[in-house]
This record gives sequence, C-alpha cells and structure tokens, in this order.
Amino acid sequence: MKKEKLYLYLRVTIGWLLSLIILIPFSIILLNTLKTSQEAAKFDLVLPSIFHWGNYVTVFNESHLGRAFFNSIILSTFPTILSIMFTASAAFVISRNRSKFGVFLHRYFFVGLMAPLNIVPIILILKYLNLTNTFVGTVLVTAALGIPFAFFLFYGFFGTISREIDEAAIIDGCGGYRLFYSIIFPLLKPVTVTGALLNFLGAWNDFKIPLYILNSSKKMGMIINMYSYFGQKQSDWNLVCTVIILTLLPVVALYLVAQKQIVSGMTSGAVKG
Amino acid sequence: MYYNKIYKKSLIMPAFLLYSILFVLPCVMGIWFSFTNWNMMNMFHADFIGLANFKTIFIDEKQTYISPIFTTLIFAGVTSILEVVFGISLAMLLNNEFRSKSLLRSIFFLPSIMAPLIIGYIFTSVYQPSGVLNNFLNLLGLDALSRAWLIDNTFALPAVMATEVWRYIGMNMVIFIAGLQMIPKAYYESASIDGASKWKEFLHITLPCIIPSITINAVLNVIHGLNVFDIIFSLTNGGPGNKTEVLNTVVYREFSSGRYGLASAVGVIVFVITLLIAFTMQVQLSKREIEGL
Repeated sequence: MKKEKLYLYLRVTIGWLLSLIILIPFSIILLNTLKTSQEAAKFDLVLPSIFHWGNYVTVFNESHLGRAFFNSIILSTFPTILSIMFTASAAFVISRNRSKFGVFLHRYFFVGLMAPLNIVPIILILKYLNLTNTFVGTVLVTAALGIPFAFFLFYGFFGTISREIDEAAIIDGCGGYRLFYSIIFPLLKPVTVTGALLNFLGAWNDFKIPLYILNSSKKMGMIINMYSYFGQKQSDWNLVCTVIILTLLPVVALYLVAQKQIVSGMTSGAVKG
Repeated sequence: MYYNKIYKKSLIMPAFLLYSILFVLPCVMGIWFSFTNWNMMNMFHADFIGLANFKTIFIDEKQTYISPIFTTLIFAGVTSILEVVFGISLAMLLNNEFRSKSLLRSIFFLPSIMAPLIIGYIFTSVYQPSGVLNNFLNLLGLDALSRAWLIDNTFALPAVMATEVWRYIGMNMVIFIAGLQMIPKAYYESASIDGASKWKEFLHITLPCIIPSITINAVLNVIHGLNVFDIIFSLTNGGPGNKTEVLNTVVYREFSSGRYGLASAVGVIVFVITLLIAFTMQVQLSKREIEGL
C-alpha cells in the first residue's frame, strides 16, 4: 500500500514537471506584456522592473483590436450557423435513407473529413460570384469547410433517435419540414452545441482562408490582424507578446466556459463511427 | 412514396450545394487547372499545357519542388509517431485518481484549441537566440548546444516539428485517456493474479485494447501533418534556404507570384498524398483492431 502511494506522488510530480513545458512559454509571454522592449528581448522569468500596463493600451489602439474582434465574431458566427443548420437537416434525411442514394451521399460528405481543400480555384469561383474580398464570400467558404465534421457528428447522433418518433409525428399530421424543425432539431441540442462550438473555434483560429481570400485590412479578423501587426513590430517583443495574449483571450475564455463540450467534441472521433 | 413525404429531399439541398460548390468543385477544378497555365495575368483564361506543371515539379535539377514533398512526408511521419508515443505516455501518467489530474489534463489540452499561428509566434520567441530554450540550455551548462534554432540548417526542421508535437500532444492524450477508460478493470486484476509485470500488462492488455485510439490518432496526426501550413509559415516561412519548405507553403508561394496553374498542381499533390495515406492507414490499422471492443 505504501509503495503504491509513493508511486502516485511520483506520477503527480512528473505530471507537474512536464506541464512546465506548456506553462513556461506562456508565463514568459505573459510577463513580457508588462516589460519594455529591451527587457522583453531577454525572455526570462523575471518580473518587470516597472509594470508597463501601457503596452496593452498601445497594442489595443495601434492594432485595431476592437474592430478585429468584431470581424472575428462575424467571420465565425455566421459560418457556424450556416453549416450547423444546413448539415443537421441534410444528415437527418440522409441517415434515414438506406438506399444506394443515401449511402452515396454519406460517403460524399464523409470524404471531406480527410480531403484537404484545394484553395486556389476558390479564388476563381468567388470572382465569378462577385464575392472576392467580402465577408459573404469568406463566410460561405468557411461554412463549406465546416460541413464534413458537422455531418459526421450529426449522422452519428441520428442513430440514437428512434424512427418511431418520425412516424408518430407524421401520423399526427405533421409535415416533413415541421417534423425536422420543431420535433427533431430540438432533440439534437447536445450535438448542436458541440458542433457549433468546434466550428466556431475552427473558424476563429483559421488563418489560411482569410490569408488567401480576404485582403482588406478593414475586414481582418483577430488572427490575421495579429499576423499583420507582427509584421510591423517584429523586434518589439513586449508589444508582440501583448497582441498574442489579447488575441488568445477570447478563445481561452471560451475554453474555460465550455471545456467539457469542446474536449468531448474534439475527441468524438475516438468513438468509432 | 410515403418515404419521400416524411424525409424531404429538399432538406439536403442547402448543405449539398454549399459543400459541392465551395469544397468539392474547387478540388475538381484544381485537377483541371493543374494541367493548364492559368495565371494572374489572365484570371478567366487558361490554356491546356498537358503535364508541363508536373514536369516542372518532378523533373527539376534544383529540386525546388521535390524536396518540399520529402520534407512534408518526413514532417508528417515524425510528428505523428512522436505525438502518439508521447500521447500514450501522458495518458497513462494522468489516467490515475489524484486531485490535480483534471487541471493537468486541461493544461496539456490547451494548445490544441489555440490558433496554430499564435503557437508559431510563441515558439518564434522560444527559439530566439536569447529565447527560453537557449536560456534553459545555458542554465544547465550546455552553452555549446545553444544556437539560433530557426535559421540553423540542421535544427530548423526538428525545431518546427517539435512545435507541432507540442501543439498536438494534448489532443492525442485525451483520445488515449478515453480509450484507456474503456478497458475493463478485470483484465488487469486477472493479470496481476497471474503475476504479470507492469510492462507485460502494458504490452498484452493496454496496447491491444487501445489500437482503435492509436488508429484514429495516427490518421488525424498524419492528415494534420501533411497539411501543415500556419506553423511553418509563422516560424520559418520555409527557410533557411528551403530546409523547412512544405507543400502548402509552396502552394502559397506559387499563388502569391501568380502562377495559379502550378499552385493548383501542387495542391493536387497534397490532396492525392493525403487521401492515399489516410485511407491506407485506416484500412491497415483497422485490421489490427480486436473484435468486440
């Protein structure tokens, strides 16, 4: 018994020592936000000689962080709503369809989980639709990219909802659309929350799509905004670290609030489906 | 038919159209454009030039395109293996009852929810000549090892790979923890009655039982690894020379210089490699899974 206890303490100690690999870089970035440029360039775990809270003000004003935040909200919320709403209904009809047609569509959406997007031709498609460098274009591309994963989540969940619900509703005189929107969709709440959170996070963290298709600085979200600010201030590590922390803040806040759903959603692939 | 009345096909349409037009169509168009000289000068016009783009890519003395293919494969292979190995180790370490275990899990998982670009910048600071890594090495008296990691010909690629591993271990860890918790406790009890050592328990119980988690992790890691972009773009942008150049940074470079046809061709190569490897791995690894677990 005593030996087991000792093992446990050993494990806990090793666990915390290893966590330093994650924690130390963060701590240094955090400390750097309060230092001068010269102090920050040393990257040490020492408290700043004077706390320069002004760095936060400087970065907030210089990098248009407020505007970038609201742009990010637009560029993450709308794709999430679109892909979740569209995919939930599609996955419902496809999962109830056992014919060859249903199997084909299932595979068609599923391939998107593995296949990478070929982004260059999108430029041409958006040009044809007159949507280059617009919020609408970026929102639609991001939404399309979120569909395969949402499909995977919803499709798996429909197996747990009995068909008898559908039949009972129809016998009571409910139409096909009402069946889905007022009876089935409310039942999907747990998956909808998970799927929405993950699509939102994915859109928020995405760098590649806006890099390729959104050039106007007025429309930049937080990530690409940080990229352009980094380009200007590369040598001022105090300011760079401040913009890193401020850009991280919304995501970390979301993680703290909804950790359970995020982790379970990201690991849902572990359950064979 | 009764069926069509309950399950409206029109409910499929919005998702089908959006996905087809902005995901599938670009991939198909990419294949067509890879055989053309489509470029910035003439957006709406492309001439068929056969295999010329692929000739440029594969038959090239300077190896500007071939070496990124190998770098991508090495990157994906090495990071996947390391992420699985460290992921299992961490999961086994933290799959115990103690008070701080959920806090520790949250800490290790945190990088998985962060934008890769941010992680790239954090590690740009870590790998600076005056950065944390060198400070740490100096502290240990290993001054000789410290260097400017990101512009070092030998160490730039390992440094970039280490960053990707750092980012993704937590993700592997939680999937393995989920897998470990599905193993019936009775297996270990009977093994310890039979006097099996810890190592034997791991080899003959734990490992076979978590093969499904290994499969999913390995496949996800490889897909991520083959499509790496943000991390390399922010850390080294392909340098020094083209030591850390991967396929997706090549796509962006060709795209920026207006050679859309060539960029599409490289995009097609990423597409084909990813699908081929992911499918083969899935099939090969699923064969080893134990039935009924």
